[in-house]
This record gives sequence, C-alpha cells and structure tokens, in this order.
Amino acid sequence: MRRGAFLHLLVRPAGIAFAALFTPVAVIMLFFAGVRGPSRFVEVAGLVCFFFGAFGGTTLTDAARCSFAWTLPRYRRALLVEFAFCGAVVCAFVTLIGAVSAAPPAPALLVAAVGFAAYAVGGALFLTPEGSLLFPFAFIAFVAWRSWTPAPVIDAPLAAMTVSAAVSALAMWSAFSSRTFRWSALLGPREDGRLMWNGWPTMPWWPRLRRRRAGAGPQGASRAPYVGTSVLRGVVSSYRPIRANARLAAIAGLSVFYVVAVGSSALGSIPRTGFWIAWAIYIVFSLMSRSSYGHHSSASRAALPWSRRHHLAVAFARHLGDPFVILLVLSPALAAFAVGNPQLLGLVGRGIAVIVIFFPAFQWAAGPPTGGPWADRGVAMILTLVVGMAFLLALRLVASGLPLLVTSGAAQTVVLGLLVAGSQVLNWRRLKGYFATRDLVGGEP
Amino acid sequence: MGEMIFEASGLTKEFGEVTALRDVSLSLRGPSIIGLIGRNASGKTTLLRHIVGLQLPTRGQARTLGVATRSLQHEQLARIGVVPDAPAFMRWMSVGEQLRYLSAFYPRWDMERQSSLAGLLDLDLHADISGLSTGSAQKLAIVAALCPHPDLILLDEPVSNLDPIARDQFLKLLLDVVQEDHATIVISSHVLHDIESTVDWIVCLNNGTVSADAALDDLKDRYAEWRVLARTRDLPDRFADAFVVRQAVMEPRCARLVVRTADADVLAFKRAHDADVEVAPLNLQGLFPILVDNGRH
Repeated sequence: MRRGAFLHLLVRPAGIAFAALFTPVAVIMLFFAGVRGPSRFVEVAGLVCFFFGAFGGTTLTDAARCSFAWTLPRYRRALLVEFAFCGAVVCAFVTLIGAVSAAPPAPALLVAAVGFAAYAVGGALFLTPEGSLLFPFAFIAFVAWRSWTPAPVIDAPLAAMTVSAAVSALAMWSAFSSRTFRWSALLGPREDGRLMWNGWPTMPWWPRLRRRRAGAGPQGASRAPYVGTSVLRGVVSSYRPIRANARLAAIAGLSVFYVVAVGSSALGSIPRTGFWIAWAIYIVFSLMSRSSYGHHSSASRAALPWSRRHHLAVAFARHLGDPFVILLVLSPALAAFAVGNPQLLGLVGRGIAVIVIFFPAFQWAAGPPTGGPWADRGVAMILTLVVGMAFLLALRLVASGLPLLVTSGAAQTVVLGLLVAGSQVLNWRRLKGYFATRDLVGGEP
Repeated sequence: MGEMIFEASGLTKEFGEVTALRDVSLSLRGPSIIGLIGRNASGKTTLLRHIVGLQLPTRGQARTLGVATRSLQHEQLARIGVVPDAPAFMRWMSVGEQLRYLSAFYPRWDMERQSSLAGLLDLDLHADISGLSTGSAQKLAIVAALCPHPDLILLDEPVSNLDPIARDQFLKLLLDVVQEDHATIVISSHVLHDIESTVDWIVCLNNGTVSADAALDDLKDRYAEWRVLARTRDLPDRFADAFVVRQAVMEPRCARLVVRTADADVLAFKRAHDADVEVAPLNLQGLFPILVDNGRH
C-alpha cells in the first residue's frame, strides 16, 4: 500500500469524476491548441497540467491535514515520489498529444518542462501556506509577462526550460517541505467553505496581523447579542472576518490592477484585447468561486434564535449580496474599460448579466445541500468547474450570440432581465426547499 | 527509569505576544505512564506538539528519543504514536481502509492488535469515517496509534469523548501496552479521577511553566488531607500553621485542610486547637489545585 500513498487517494468519487470530466476536455483543448500552432499548444499544455496538479494538490492537502500525516514515517517522501510520477504521466500524455496534433509539432522537451512546472505549481498552490495568497499575484505576473513579451515561449526554448526546471524544483520543495506538513497538521482538516484561501490566515507569519484584527471584523459584530435578528445582521455574521477581509482585499487589489491595466490608454494600444477580456473573465470567475466557497452558513451557528424562514431569508440575501458587492467593487474597472473601449459597452453589459445569472449556480455547486459523496469538497470543486465551463460557454453565447438573435438593445435588456429573474427564482425555490426539509447543520446551502 | 524519551531545556514557545511555554526544563524517561495535567491554556497541547516536532521552540532546546525535535526523522517518528485531541482522517475512506492505508508505513504494524483493539473498543471497521461520531474517531485514533507498537505514545485528552465503558477499557489497555511494549505514555487529561489509577508520574503545567514534575506516589506522600473536628471551642477563621497548604472547608466546628506532611505535626496541632484530626490521603483531584498553585507555596 505504501506504493499507493498518493495514487490510492485519487481513487475516490472526486478523483474519478475529475478524470472522467476533465480528461476529455483537456484532450479537446489540446487538439484545438495544436491546430493553432506549437506556441499556443505549449500555453494550453501548461494550463492543462496546472489543473491536474491543482487537483492533485487538493488531494494532498486533504491527506496532509489528517492528524496522522506528520508522524507517518516516510509519508512525505512517498507522496512526493508518487505526485511527481503522476506529473510525469500527465506531461507524457500532453506531450504525446502535442506530437500528433500540433503542426509543426511542439518541442517535446519544452512541453514536458513547462507542463511539469505548471503541474508542480498547481500542487504547491494548495499545499503550501503561502500558495493561495501568492497565486493571484503569480497569475498577474504571468499575464503581464505574457502580454508584454512579444516573443512566445517557443522562441526561447532553452531559457523557458531552465526557468521551468527552477520553478518545478521550487514548487516541489515548498510543497513537500517539513514546514508545509507541520503547518498542515497543525491547521487540521479543511473546513467546509475553504478552498482557494484555505488557511492562509493561519500562516506562520500571520498571527500578528490576525491579532490586530481580532474583534474588529464582522465576526466581532456577530458576537454581539442578536437583538432584532435582522436579515442584514445575519448576512454580516455569516461571513468570517478573516475570509471576508481577505476577499475584499483580493477584490480591491485585483480591481486596482484591472483599472490600471485595462483602463490605461497606454496599455490599450497593446493588440491583445482578447487576452485582456479573458483575464477579466478569470477575475470574475475566481471571485465567484471564492465567494461561493467563502460562505459560512448561518444555519450551522449554534444557539441562534432564528426560525428556518429567517435562515432562508439570510441565505437568499447573502446570495444576492455576493454578485452585488463584486460588481460594485469592480465597477470602477468596468467603467474604465467601457470608457477606453466604448465599442465593447454592450459586451460588458451582457457579461455582467451573465455573472448575475450564473451566480446561484456557482453557489449551488460550492455547497450542494446533499450528503454522501456530494459532500466531498473535491466533488464540489468539480461541480464548480463544470458550472464554470458552462458559465464561460454561456458568456460566449450571450455576449456574442444574443445580438444576432435579438438586435434591439431594449429587447436584449428584457431577455437578460428575465434570465436574471429566472435564475433568482430558481435559487429561491432551491433554498426554500432546503430550509424546509434539510437538517440545519451538516450541509451548506 | 530507562531511556530518555524527551528532554527540554529552557524551552520557550511564543505565539506573537502570547507565551505558551515559558522556560520549561523537563526530562521524561520511560517506560512509564506520565500524566500531563494543568488548567485550560496551560500549555499541555503545545508541549505535546513540541515532543513530536510539530511545533518548534522559540528559544531553548527540545530533544525526543535523543534527537532534536527540529530534526526528527522517520526512524524516530515510526516509534511515536499520537492521539490528538481532535483526530482527523480521510473522510472518504472506511475505518478498515484507513487503517490499511496507515499500516503500510509502519514496519511493526500489528494486525492482531488491530483486530483485538477494534473489538475491544467496539469500532466497526466497515463504518465510513465521514459518519463516525467524535468518540468513534477518537477510538480510531487510538487504534492507529497503538498498532505500530510505538515506544512513545502521546495522548491529548484521549478519554474526553469516550463513554465510561470505553474509557475504562482504554485505561486498562494502556497498562497492557506498557507491559507488552515497554512503551512510555504521555497522557494529557482533565479527567483526573480516570488517569489517577493509570499514571505513575505527573507533570503539571501552569501558565506555561512546570509547577510539578514528580512521581504520583511521591506527590501523594507530600500532602495529606486533615479533617478537623473541634472538641470544645470553635475553630479559628483561618489556620496560621505554615504546613497548611489549603483550607478547603471552614466551619465553626469542623474544617478540611490540606497539609504538607513533611512539616505537619498532628499531635501538636490537636493540642493547639483542642480538636480531633482524621488524616486521609489526597487523590489527584485534591492534589490538582495545589500542584497548579505550587509556585505560591
């Protein structure tokens, strides 16, 4: 069984679902990328490997946070070897597709090196204390580098392979260091609702900041007597202070970047508008994911003198509040984008509508009100991924396809408004059913 | 006493401005069963985490099984079994699968012990971990910790979630393990009545410092309870005798005192206060407040 230290962990509903859902998607993505040339293929190969690594990272995180993980002899080494082995298999798979799909074929060594680096980074992102915090900044750096560097990776293979090897080594070392595993064991099992930001407030260097903030956030407010038990108070108290602050900080930070980067006329001259739109979608997508994972159900709090109906009102208001807050914070950036690109104003509007339409689906995927294998966070993550893909598809269809079907702006607004209302009605019905029939603890709507 | 199991010298652990352990110097030798007691937030769990190397000292030295805790390798870790206060396992496995997964990493995993412990603690090997109660998860942690025949077993509040029957069985089991494996067990608990019959050495922490580190029998010999009954006149409001450590119950005609036996002269006390005195041994529950307040006496 020691040989299955990591492989054994993959054989569970979440692992099987991930393999079944993502592998075909990855193959299609890689084939399409190959058709567009080796340069594009290398980028997509990196992305695919990153997702495989990220899934491996979540699995490793679950293991590392078990109470036995620290004392289990040779455990880190066994996990490291098998995680690296899986990475090699994924890279070989990707490289093989590159050899047959890209014309001319992408250099195998380059694909493997970039792929393994992305895989290792994906794993480290979930395992290391700083990973989830650094990730947005790493992504920003990547996007910036990708946008400003005229020469793609494929034009400098030696440099790319050297950097990839260094990144791989650094990521693997940090993921499997004794420091990371100490931290994981002390942190304990991943709580429901913690995925992307899992645990970074408890990083070794965090306590000072954390102490300063103690009692100052919404959690502090929630400790006050629940006089009045208003819906607003419930919404505030259902966010944890650290998570809420982290989310706001992330949104603010990314928005500032967005304003600076997308709204700047200097950057507007860069002929990569499509890439910036993709980047904007990423921001919104990640914020939606984080928002949906970041919830803390009001129902799981003990001794709240709330009826089921009150919990329902709180949950629904909270679900409405998420897209509202995100759009509010992003509005300066969106305005800057619209001013800089007036021809894309309608596109931005339709994109915003899709965000609002899809938000309930994200919230459902993050916390399906069911037990058994569906309570597995890995499964929830896959559901989010599936919903995310559907979201991107819908974004594409609505943003580009709707004007073809409905030419009048007013009619488009009506259609989008109906879709927004419809999604909220469905969400209300789902929550109503949940709070009418389900246990108030153990699941999270 | 035999092998040095854990040795701390000037061990201090700070979390920002909070000092969890303060200049702790301690030597634990085995085989023995050591009770680690103290009030809430006295540093018990932090000390256990230092023993296994999960937390590292801010200052001072800590060595477990002869190796600095910062450098513990798999050879040492394989000799340590841990039952944390809130054990966590892989929720998608069954109990049996989890144990099989763990067993592959230990050179001395005892399947026979696994079966007997599971039976003794009434732990269903086919049950899903996600559905285990807190007590059953603790039982699983106990089985997982004992099956590799560890030389050092660290138990952080192991009986807190066990029902009375399982608790009794578990404590008897510890005695068997010490006898069979010659292991050293460090058990942290607030259920003093239960561990009293099991432990032979007491380490008491108070506000991060060691307030007692002695054999339980020695501690019991050091103190005694006097039940004082006045014969003719009322007892004083307070006894000023230096050997009186604690005045537990004070009424006009009777009192219950805890005294330091080395200095106490029962005959002189009887004469001085014209009272009858019944001497009774102190149990761990009675000793606890004294041990915690040791610095003041």
